[in-house]
Amino acid sequence: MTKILVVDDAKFMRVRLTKLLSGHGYEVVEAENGEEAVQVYKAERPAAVLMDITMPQKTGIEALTEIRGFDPQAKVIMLTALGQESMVVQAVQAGARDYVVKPFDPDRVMLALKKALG
Amino acid sequence: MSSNNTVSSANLWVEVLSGENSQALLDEAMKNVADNLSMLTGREITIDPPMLKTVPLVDLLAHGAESPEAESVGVYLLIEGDLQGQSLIIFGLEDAFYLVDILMGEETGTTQAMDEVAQSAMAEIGNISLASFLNVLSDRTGHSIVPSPPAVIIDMAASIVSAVAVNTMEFAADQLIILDTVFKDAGRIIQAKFWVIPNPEANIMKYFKTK
Amino acid sequence: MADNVRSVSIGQIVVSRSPADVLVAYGLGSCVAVSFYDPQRKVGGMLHALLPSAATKNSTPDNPAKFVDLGVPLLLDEVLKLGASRSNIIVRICGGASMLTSPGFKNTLNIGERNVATAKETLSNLGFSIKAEDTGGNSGRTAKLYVATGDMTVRTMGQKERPL
Repeated sequence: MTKILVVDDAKFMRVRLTKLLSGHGYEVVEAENGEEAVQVYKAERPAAVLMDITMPQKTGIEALTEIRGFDPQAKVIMLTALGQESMVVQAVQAGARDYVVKPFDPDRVMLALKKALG
Repeated sequence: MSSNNTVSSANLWVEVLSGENSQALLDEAMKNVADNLSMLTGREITIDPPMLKTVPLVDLLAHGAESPEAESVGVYLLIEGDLQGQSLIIFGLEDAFYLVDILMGEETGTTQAMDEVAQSAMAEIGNISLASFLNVLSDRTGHSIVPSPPAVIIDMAASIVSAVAVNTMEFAADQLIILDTVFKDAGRIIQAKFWVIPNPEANIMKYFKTK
Repeated sequence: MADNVRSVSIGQIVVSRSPADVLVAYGLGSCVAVSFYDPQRKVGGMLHALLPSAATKNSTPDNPAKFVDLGVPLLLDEVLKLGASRSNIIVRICGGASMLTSPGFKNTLNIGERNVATAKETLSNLGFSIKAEDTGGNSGRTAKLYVATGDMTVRTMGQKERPL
């Protein structure tokens, strides 16, 4: 089973994404902040990451940078809130494969994921 | 409207709420709220045309909480940046449960308490509502306007509404300007009050009092 | 007896000597209600104040009852006018919860606490002691004063009225 790491500080978002992904046959691991995301990434080596940008204890961009430092091939898709265009640019510069704006269409998430997984 | 970073929050509010283009601007901003809530919930959410009201503090509870002791869920946020103010969205407790069920893809009736998941879902509703509204204002005026992280309050309606009044503290205001609307789903099961409230600075209050 | 509910809204003082009246401050969050009652004359009054004190002392605000420090003496005047005797007055206070506990709202973080502290200080300066209080915490309260009996109750969400 392909393993995906879902990172968001809102529990509701994690539950929702986990449901969506497991419904499509993925195995899901979760983290609730950037710090935890880095640890879980190292321990679990997921095939891809879906990660929120604004989080306490390390933002998504900081975690992205660390994850990419550890694994330059890491496939990370950012989940961004409305009005965070400037942060999307930062994230792409830091090596994010793609981004999805919240509130997202589930199909859009699955498409971005499939593209990233190649 | 062009970018002008020297405009004060009060002047920008006046421009947004009663300028030449404000009707179109507010309609577009509310439509964006409805579109994004519809996307989030997968249901058709509509928003009534917003009304601009001047509400004396003594009438605030009557305005915001027709049944003052009704068990309710409020999402409270501040408006920060070049526009300053606050925003409140209030749901009846049962409506909130219903909404959480939709957001979680659960059967109606599954959610029975506002636990951590339910609260984070309501926080997201607040966040997306206000961000969708402010984003349009931001795009159209060229100013930076952002919502604060939301606070979810589960309490009697009057207690939730009174949180809005506390924010008049630093302004010697006995009235509030409220952009007041209601959003609902196509089935009219959910009805929520959505308020956008400029900080009651002397300049803006003077403007709307004499209008 | 048919209760005649008289709502005491934010920044209001309501006084009564009509036995059917129940003075009700709905949904006190960080606001504080101060209740005065003279059991001999059966005169009651309630203040629903929003903030501890006016920001500027040099001008009289439009609505002094919005402030605890200005509202309490006004409440006293009003019940005395209705025939209450100062030495009979029973004082109870209610409210002052902390509604927005997130660190992002530091402006208003301890306003409830400050409202209660100001009420106690103002009452003490006027020579009153507090007979009962239900203050602090994180939940809104509805406070009721039954003018006929002087009974006072407090209710929080999902709970029954309890005597204060």
